[in-house]
Amino acid sequence: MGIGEGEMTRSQILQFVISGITQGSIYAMVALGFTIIFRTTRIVNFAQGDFVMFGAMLVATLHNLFHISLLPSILLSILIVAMIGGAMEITMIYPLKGVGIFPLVMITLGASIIFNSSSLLIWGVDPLHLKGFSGDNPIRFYGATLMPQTLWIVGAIVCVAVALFSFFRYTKIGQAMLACSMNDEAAASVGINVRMMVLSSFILSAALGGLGGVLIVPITMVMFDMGVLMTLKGFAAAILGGLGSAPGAVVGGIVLGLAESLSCGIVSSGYRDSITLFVLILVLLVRPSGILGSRFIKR
Amino acid sequence: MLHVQNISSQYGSIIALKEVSIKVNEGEMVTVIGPNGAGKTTLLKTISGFVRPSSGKVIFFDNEITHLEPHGVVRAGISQVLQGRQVFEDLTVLQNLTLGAYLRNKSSKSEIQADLEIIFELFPILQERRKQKAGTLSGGEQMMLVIGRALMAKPKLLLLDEPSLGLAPLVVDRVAATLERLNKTGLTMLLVEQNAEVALTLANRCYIMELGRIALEGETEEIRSTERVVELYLGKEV
Ligand SMILES: Nc1ncnc2c1ncn2[C@@H]1O[C@H](COP(=O)(O)OP(=O)(O)O)[C@@H](O)[C@H]1O
Ligand SMILES: [Mg+2]
Repeated sequence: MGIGEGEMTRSQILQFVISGITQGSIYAMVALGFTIIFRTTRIVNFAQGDFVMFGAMLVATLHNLFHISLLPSILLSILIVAMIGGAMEITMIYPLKGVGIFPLVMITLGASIIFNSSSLLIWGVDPLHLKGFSGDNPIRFYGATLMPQTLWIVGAIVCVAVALFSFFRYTKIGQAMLACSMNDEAAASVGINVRMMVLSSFILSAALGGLGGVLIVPITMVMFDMGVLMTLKGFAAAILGGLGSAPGAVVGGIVLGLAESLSCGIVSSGYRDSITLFVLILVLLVRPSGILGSRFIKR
Repeated sequence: MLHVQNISSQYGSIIALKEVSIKVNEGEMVTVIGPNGAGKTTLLKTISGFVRPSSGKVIFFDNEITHLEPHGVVRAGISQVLQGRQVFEDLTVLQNLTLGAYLRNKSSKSEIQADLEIIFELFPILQERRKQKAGTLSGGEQMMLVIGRALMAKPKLLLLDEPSLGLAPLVVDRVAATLERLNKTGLTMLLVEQNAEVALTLANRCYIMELGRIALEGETEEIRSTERVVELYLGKEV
C-alpha cells in the first residue's frame, strides 16, 4: 500500500495516539476534579481549570525562581492549590449556602475571573516552563517518540484513578461524601458534617487540579489564562464520560485527548479546540447521558 | 430525658411552631399526632437541629442542645428517621447501614458487626438484600433500612417522622410491631404520625398538634376516649 500525501504511517498514528493519551490524561485529571465537587454538592465548578493553572505556575516559579528542588516544589504547589480550593469554599461557597445551585455555579465563574486576574498580576503575560521530571530526552517507541514526561502523566492518572476509586468505595470519608451527594439531609441525619464534606471536596479537587498543572508544565506553555481552556476541556471530558461518574471522567478525558490529537493529524491543528465541541455534541446526540452514563444527567 | 420548652420556629414569615412544649421520659414511646401541615415535622427537625427555633429551648439529659448542628445532635444521642424514607439510593443496603454508625469512632469493628447482626435479625430481608442498591428496595424495605440505619448509631432517643406514610397496611403493621419490640427492649421513642390509629395503639403518651400548637395531651388511654379525638382522628362516628 503506497503512502500518499495526507495519509498517515503507522508510526505517525502511534505518535498522535501517544500525544492524545498524554493530553487526555490531563483532561481526565480536570474532569475528575469536576466530578468530586459535583458529586458532593451538585455544583459545576468553573474555576476547576484555574487550579491547574495555579499548580503549573507555582511549580515553575518555586523550582526556577526560588531554586527549591523538584519534589518539594511539586508537593508545595499542590498543597498551596489545595488551600486555594479550601479558601474558595470558605469565602465564596459556604457564606452563600441555601441560595441554590445555579447562583453558586455563577459564583465559581466569578472565582475563575478573580483567579485569572490575580495570576496576571503575579506572573504577567509571559509563559513559564519547566524541565521534564526525568529529563527531556525522547524515548524511541515503535518509530514514534515518547517524552519521559508522558510516562509520568499517564502513570499519575492511573494512580489517581485507582486511589479515588478506593477512596470512595472503601473509606469512611469517601462514603460520607457520596452520601452527601445522594441526600444531604439524610447524610446529616446519620451524623455526617455535611459542611466539612463540601470543604473537603473543594480541597481534594483543587489538589487534583494542582497535580494536573504540575504534570503539564514540562510539555506545554503555561500562562496566566490557561485555566479557561482547561476548564472547557475538562468540563467537556466530564460530560462526555457522564457527569458525576469517576471512571467516566477518565474515559471522557482520554477520548477527548485522542479525538483532538487525531483530528490534528487528519484535518489541521487549527481545528483542535473546535473538535472538543464537535465530539461533545456527537456523543451527546448518541448518548445523552455520556459514555459511562450517570443518572445525574438522565434526570 | 428530652424536654422541649416553649419552642417557636418559623420559615421566613410562616410561623410553623408556636410555644410548643413536650416531654419524653426515659423508656417511653411518645407520639405526636396531627393533620398535615400541623408542624409535626418542624417539631422533629427543630429537635434534631435542621430548623433553628426563634425562641425556646431543647434540653436533653440536662444539656441544652437547642443550637447544635444536626450532626451534633446525633452525637448527643438522638437519631432521626426522616419523613419519606430517605435512603442513600446508589449505595448498597450494607453501605447504608454502615453509614448509620458513622459517628461511632470509639466502637470497634466487631461491636459494629454485632450490631449489624442485630439489625439483620430484626429485619431479615435486609440481610438478604445487603448487596443490593437501596434505591431498588420496595417502600417497606426502605422503611426498615432507614430504621435500621438510625439504630446503627445506637441512639438513646429515636425520632420517627411518619414511618407509616405511603406503606401498605400490612407493612405498617410489621413496622409497628418492630417499633413496639424496640420500645420493649428499652429504646425511647418520639413518634410523629398522621395515622392516629397506629400511633395511639403503640404509644404511652400522646400530644395532639394543630396549627403549630399542642392542642391536647395525655395518656393514650384517655386521649383515645376523648370525643373530639375519636371524631377527628380515629374517623369513627360518635
Ligand atoms: N421548608 C419550608 N418552607 C416554608 N414553609 C414550610 C417549610 N416546611 C414546612 N413549612 C410549613 O410549615 C408548616 C408546618 O409544616 P410541617 O412541619 O411539615 O407539618 P407536618 O409535618 O405536620 O405535616 C406548614 O404550614 C408548612 O407549609
Ligand atoms: Mg410532616
